[in-house]
Amino acid sequence: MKRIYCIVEKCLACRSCEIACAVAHSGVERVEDAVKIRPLPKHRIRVESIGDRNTPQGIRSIALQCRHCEDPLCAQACITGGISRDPETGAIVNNPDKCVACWSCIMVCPFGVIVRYEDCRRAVKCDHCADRDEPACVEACPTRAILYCEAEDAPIPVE
Amino acid sequence: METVWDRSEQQEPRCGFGEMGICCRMCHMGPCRIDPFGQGAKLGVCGANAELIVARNFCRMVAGGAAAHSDHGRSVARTLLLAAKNPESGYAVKDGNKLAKVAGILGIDPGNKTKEEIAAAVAEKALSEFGRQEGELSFIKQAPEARQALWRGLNIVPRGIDREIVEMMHRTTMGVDQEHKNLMLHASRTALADGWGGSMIATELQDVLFGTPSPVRGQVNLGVLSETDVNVVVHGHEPVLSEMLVLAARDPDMLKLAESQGASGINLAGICCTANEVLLRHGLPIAGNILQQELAVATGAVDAMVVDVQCIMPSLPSASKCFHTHLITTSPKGKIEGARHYDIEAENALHSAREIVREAILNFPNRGNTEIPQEKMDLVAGFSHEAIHYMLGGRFRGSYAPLNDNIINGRIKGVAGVVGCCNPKVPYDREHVDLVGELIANDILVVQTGCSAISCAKAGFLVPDTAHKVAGKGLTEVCEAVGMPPVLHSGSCVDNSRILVALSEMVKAGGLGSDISDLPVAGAAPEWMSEKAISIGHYFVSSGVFTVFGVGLPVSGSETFARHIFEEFEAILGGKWAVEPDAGKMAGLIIDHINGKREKLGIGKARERVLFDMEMRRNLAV
Amino acid sequence: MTFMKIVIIGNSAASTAAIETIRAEDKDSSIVQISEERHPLYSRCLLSYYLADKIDKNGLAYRSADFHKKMDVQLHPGRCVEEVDPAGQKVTCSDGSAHSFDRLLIATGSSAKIPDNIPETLRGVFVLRTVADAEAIKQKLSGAKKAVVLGGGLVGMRAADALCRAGLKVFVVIGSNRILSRMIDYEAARIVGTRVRDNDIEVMTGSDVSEVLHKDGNVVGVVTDNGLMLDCEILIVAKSVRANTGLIRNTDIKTRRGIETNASMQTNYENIYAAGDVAETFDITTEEYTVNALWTCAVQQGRIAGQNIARRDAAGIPAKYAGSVAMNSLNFWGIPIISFGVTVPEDESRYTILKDSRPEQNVYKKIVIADNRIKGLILVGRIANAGVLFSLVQNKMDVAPFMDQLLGDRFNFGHVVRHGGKPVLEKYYRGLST
Repeated sequence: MKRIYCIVEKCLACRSCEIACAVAHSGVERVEDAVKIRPLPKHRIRVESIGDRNTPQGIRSIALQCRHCEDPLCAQACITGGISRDPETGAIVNNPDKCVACWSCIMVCPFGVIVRYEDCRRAVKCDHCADRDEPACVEACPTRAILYCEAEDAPIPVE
Repeated sequence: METVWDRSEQQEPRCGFGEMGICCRMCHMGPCRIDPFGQGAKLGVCGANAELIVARNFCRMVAGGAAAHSDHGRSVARTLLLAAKNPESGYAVKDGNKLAKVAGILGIDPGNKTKEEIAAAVAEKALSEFGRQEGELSFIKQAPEARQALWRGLNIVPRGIDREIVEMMHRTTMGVDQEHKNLMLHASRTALADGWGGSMIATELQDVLFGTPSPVRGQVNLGVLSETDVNVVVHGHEPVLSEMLVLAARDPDMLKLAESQGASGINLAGICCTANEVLLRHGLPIAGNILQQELAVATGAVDAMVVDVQCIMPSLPSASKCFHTHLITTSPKGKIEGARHYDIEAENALHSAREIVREAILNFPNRGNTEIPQEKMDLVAGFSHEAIHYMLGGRFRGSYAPLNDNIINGRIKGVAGVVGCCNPKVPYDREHVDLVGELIANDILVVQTGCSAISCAKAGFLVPDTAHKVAGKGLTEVCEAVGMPPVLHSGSCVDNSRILVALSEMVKAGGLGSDISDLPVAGAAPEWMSEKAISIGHYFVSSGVFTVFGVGLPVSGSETFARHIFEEFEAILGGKWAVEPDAGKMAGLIIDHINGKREKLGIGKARERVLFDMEMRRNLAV
Repeated sequence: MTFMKIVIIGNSAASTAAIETIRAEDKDSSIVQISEERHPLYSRCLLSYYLADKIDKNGLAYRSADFHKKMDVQLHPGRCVEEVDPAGQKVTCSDGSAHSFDRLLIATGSSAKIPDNIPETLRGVFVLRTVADAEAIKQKLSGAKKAVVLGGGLVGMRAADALCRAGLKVFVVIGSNRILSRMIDYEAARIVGTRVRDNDIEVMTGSDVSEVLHKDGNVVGVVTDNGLMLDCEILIVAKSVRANTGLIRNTDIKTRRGIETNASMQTNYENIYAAGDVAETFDITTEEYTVNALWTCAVQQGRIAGQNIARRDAAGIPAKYAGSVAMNSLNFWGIPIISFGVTVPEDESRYTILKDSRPEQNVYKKIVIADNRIKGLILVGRIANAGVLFSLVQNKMDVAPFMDQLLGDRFNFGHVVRHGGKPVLEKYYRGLST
């Protein structure tokens, strides 16, 4: 199954992916228009630091987003049955019509990548940009640090 | 060969924080950025919020643009001083009438001074405007009384040009002015120091030195480059360089040298604003606007590309290396790695210019294959405010009254200045052409400068007969009656100051209110990219003009700031900003604004809007 | 391939998870499911949302209507298992029907305990465990003006919220000193309690209903043990629950608070499994066997039971349940609350307790740590990355390297990567959530 991978050595923490993600899920094309939408659209990808500035390795960052896990805890915790695996794409999807904003998924997601969209009373997460050819974050990354590929082509570090 | 469009593509996606103006690099506690979707940081490290960050970035763009225009003006003033003091310099006063007029504005008593003495006094007075610490810039007096009073009330009349720019930089450094509205008032003062200061000094003194433009025929587009002539392309902004090249290229010795190298002549063509300067004063051909600088080189027919300052792409050396083209820099302020440098300001400018032309001629035999596009277009340009004044009324009864009369009777709905750069982020030239087409179709007289004028020239808008096919009936009638095209090319980007003077003249002519902000006029920069455009935009807004920019403005990261310049500013200064990337919608905004002003003046008779469509575009073909 | 007869008793979280895991591996064996519940499969947790009209009846559905058909399960709804015969590998229902089994899963859930002094036959006395309960309450709502909820736990508070939204004046009578006492501590309860009172719900702590007043078989009020008389037409009892172990009362299947299970979710009979609210499991935070009657626990236990039921090869390695954790998430009038594990330790001296209390912002965070391992936590107001902390609980990760960052609003998975290095990153990349 294709997943989104962030090559940490290439990530410069510019957060372009965050912006592109929010715009891609806003229903409009341009960021200038997206920031006018109320409630504000949410990004489902988030750049976090994985290194300390004051260490020899220096600051490093990663764009975190839903892993569409093999055994998704969010789906197990979901009290409505709204979070499930899409049989066609293999992606874990949250049915917005079922979500009751109980945040059980947020309670269990070990990567912290489910976003509380309080204004719309639902949880949102990466959907691999189902309606696009390529996820918006991948397109947006200026250093090509974000890939959308099968695990065998991914830069998975093995200890 | 890589072009600006290739590199633009490689820059995609542009960083949204920069596009929205919410990236702050003022200090190294950062860089900081605000999450526009509210999930991340709402404040920079120092505590600056989105509006402050956007405001500081915007203000620094104003300062950058004002600095560029003004330093250009300073260089013209120094050249005038040189011309007055040193007849060997190659420069001389060409327009005595303009000298007298400027001397009057600057409060210089001609007495029984010689032309050179007056010129020296004018140059020195102009130079002192830069370092002035208190008081008011002299050219402010050109503005309508009501406008001057408004500025005084807000305490934003520029004192000295340099002072306002320095203060703008100071106020926007870490931890100084933290109120976006207060910052924007100083941005107005800084921008006014450009439009009514640096830029106006540049324009007026260039006219003194090189002549005030009057209507002239010319040609535009890459097709003006010659297969058989030595092609010297001059690119940049200051006519201080190009005027000397014009003289050198006409030198019989040089022509002889060219013939000896197998060329049939010397073809001096321009790019960007320098092109506009030499076109307006000499009718020399324009090879293209800013985005065509690499394309000109790519014809393989440019024997020398001679540049000075502003809008010169650092990609030119690598582009030139693909061909035989020699890249030559001429300003000590603007050197480029890989270019030959001739200092035009040192010693005798004409001598340097001759050396440059000689180098171009000697390079002619090195030409490889050339590929010059066929496209070229005729044009008429040279509409300084004096020329417009003359055309409207004739030499002895020159007046803006006929223009005002026709605006009042509704044949002409209003006037729009369409100016500014070209930007590879939008389809090339199209926004300019579509906007101007729709404006004239709706009987709005268009005044143009800069690269925008070149875009429209290429489309044929500067050919009166062609433009009339698109222009509305009323506008065509008036233009035909006075023998003026509906799209007036007024010069380079510093020559936007001509538009300020023209607007003031319109107010003085009467019948259209007492201030620029009463006039049914608007400004637009549909494909802007430079800091200079922001400074121009802001001096138009601060002079009371509704000004629309295309492409997008880096302010959308703060709704509060955007509201301030898009709405609140009108109550403060009578003008306001707008942003609209779509040319059709931009035309709509301008038409609505002009109709609104007409309504307020009691001369409004709304007419159905005419859309600039494909049929009209086809009509443009000559 | 051996064909098995699998019998599953119950039709909720654990049994659904078991069916799905069994069918992922075994399409052939027969599955017979017997459930007292007449209503098609629904989510019990949504009943309060239904009561509050936040969702309609269709919204209660936990799986699509054709779930049992797609899973090839013979479902017998509305049937009660009377007797289990472990030795004879047979279950008998109240209607006399019997089903033999090779493997049995008991997932009968739990029921509300009703104190003896409350006559449940009175009209107006309700519990909130089933769709039928919710329907009955809904019918009573019109015309009712006041309600008393006995019990301030998750179900009680959600019911109170629903009744309040329906326009009733609600009194909540709570035995302990605070609302949600099994989830949060006193300080957190004060923050949430303010919001509860803002919404005009009266809370009476440290009290109990001593008498139910009635007239013509209808509830008309209650008297509390401190002598207060409260008028009400509705009394909802939500004090505690009891595992539904009645069907094995005559067997030697071991029970304490629920049916005893091992890490494979087996009872003391290796072919009989138990999961969900009926099962007693090892709690990894208290390190004691207990019943964590919670939806997520039930799903996870059902999955383990299902995997082991489907495993035909006796030599196969059984799936192991890591153990249960008390975990709750509640969104109360816009204040999100999440808690795990030990939130109010009895002997505080054995624990390190990190606290961040910002009542003015409706924010409260508390993390209970022992031996550098997180044993429990409360998050009020700021719940982002709660799951990251939960994974630290589950994986018993040493949190000493980032002890000072755990409470921060910015604590996130990046901190775990910093200290866990490549193995953590690899798990993330591969989407291994456990």
